[in-house]
Amino acid sequence: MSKQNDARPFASADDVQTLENALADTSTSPRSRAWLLRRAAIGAGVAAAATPLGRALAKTAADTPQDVGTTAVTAEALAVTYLTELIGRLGSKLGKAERPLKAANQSEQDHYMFLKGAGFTPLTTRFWIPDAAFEPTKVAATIEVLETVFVNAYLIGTTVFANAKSDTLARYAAEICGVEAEHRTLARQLQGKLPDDLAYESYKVKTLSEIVAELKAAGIGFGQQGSKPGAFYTYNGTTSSTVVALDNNAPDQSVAFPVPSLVGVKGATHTAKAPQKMPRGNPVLTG
Amino acid sequence: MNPKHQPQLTTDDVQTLDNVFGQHRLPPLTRRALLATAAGAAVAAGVPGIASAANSDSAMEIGTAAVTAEALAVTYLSNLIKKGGHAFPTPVQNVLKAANQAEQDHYEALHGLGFKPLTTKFWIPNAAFNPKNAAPIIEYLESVFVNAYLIGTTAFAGAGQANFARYTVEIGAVEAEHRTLARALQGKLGDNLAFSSYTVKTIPEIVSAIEKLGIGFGKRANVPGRFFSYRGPLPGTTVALATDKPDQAAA
Repeated sequence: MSKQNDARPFASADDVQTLENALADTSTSPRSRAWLLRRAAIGAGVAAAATPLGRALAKTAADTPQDVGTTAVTAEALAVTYLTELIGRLGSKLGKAERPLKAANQSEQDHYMFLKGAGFTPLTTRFWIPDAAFEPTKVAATIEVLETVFVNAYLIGTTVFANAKSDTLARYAAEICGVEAEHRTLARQLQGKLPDDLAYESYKVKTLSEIVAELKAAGIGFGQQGSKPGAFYTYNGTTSSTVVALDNNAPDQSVAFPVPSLVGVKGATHTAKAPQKMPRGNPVLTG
Repeated sequence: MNPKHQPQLTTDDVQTLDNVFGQHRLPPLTRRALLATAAGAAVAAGVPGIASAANSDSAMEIGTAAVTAEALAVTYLSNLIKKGGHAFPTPVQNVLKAANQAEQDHYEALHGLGFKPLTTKFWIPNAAFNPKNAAPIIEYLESVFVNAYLIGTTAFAGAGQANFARYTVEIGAVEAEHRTLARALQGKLGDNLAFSSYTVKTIPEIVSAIEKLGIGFGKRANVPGRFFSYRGPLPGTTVALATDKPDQAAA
């Protein structure tokens, strides 16, 4: 982990509460307030793990909160690098998958920005990505594999943060994990598989080193050549043509529950759309 | 789920869980009802210690709300599939059946942990069974469920209960999958969020959000509908899933 994090003057959980109380009494904008609280909460969470108790708790889970942050920001950089290159190459050839992939790219970039803003630095921004990952017929399967690993990684993150009693960070990990699971299910849908095939997200591996090993087994290299034919790609963020706007972009942002307009209900403002066919097969064009 | 697969609390787990959740502020429910619920659940689940540990409203409130919501989900989905399933293409029927099985698996795990629903009788609006309304209603309910499990994650993590915190994420993320599929079914962008939304912060707000849909928990709501009782998934309303309990490794 970077010295930048080690040197940060950490806030305690009580400090965070005090800060929240103070901000509530000021005219600070909600956006600034939320940002400040997130930064403070992260500091408090990482500080908890830096205490003897925190280290002991983290040790039981093998990984520390700083390990989680570093691994996560590296994985998000990988995701953005892959998706940006993929969408840039295939564009409209992605068919029905194009828009969900652009949304996924934006969300991974939002995760990266949040983690980076919290002080975590990726171990590398140079990734070896197998050529096969860009083959149109293998895109959805590749994404399913990656997102399954990412879900697992954030489950480890939740566990590590909870061991350190960092409830806010555990929730942030959960908020990201839920979105990675959404990507997983859409990737399965694109392959014509049963998309919601799980009652519980899979917790296959328990340590971040195993997460990295899983990604390497898929042929990905972190700053070094991977095990399958491919090339190096460097993280450069997204481009405007490879993303779409989302309804939120940071943890704990409130999105109103989507009150449905129902058919056959007095007072309904408009008619709900009829159910559509679920996309079947691989919508990624092979041309 | 087969009972042998149910995760079990140890006495220490329950006591620790309860002690730490006593510090988590939530509006109280009827203490007597909760104690009775816990005692009954302890007998049903065969988990020693949970009854004696049931001295905290908040711990029970979260688990009780969750198991009640799962019972509601199974009741609604089972009847929706039974009544209107034929109106959906086969892939959509399978998605609904998979969701129903998942909610039932959640119910059984929570029940196995000693939580008992406050009611198994739900007032469900007639409009909810119109196939054209199913996807918007499921999107709404799943959004609320995702939020509810984020509350659970927060509470368990604050208590240092890492395993329980992770279980809530394992469930909450599956609810998020259901949410995104319900959106896709309406022609909306399925993955419209970068972070799952944490809109409300308390269990009573979760209950209130569900009631706004015209759902009644053991009582009539102010919209045309009728009562349905939870009886587990109705025959022919589920499909097999790759996981059915926490911490499993799917292939």
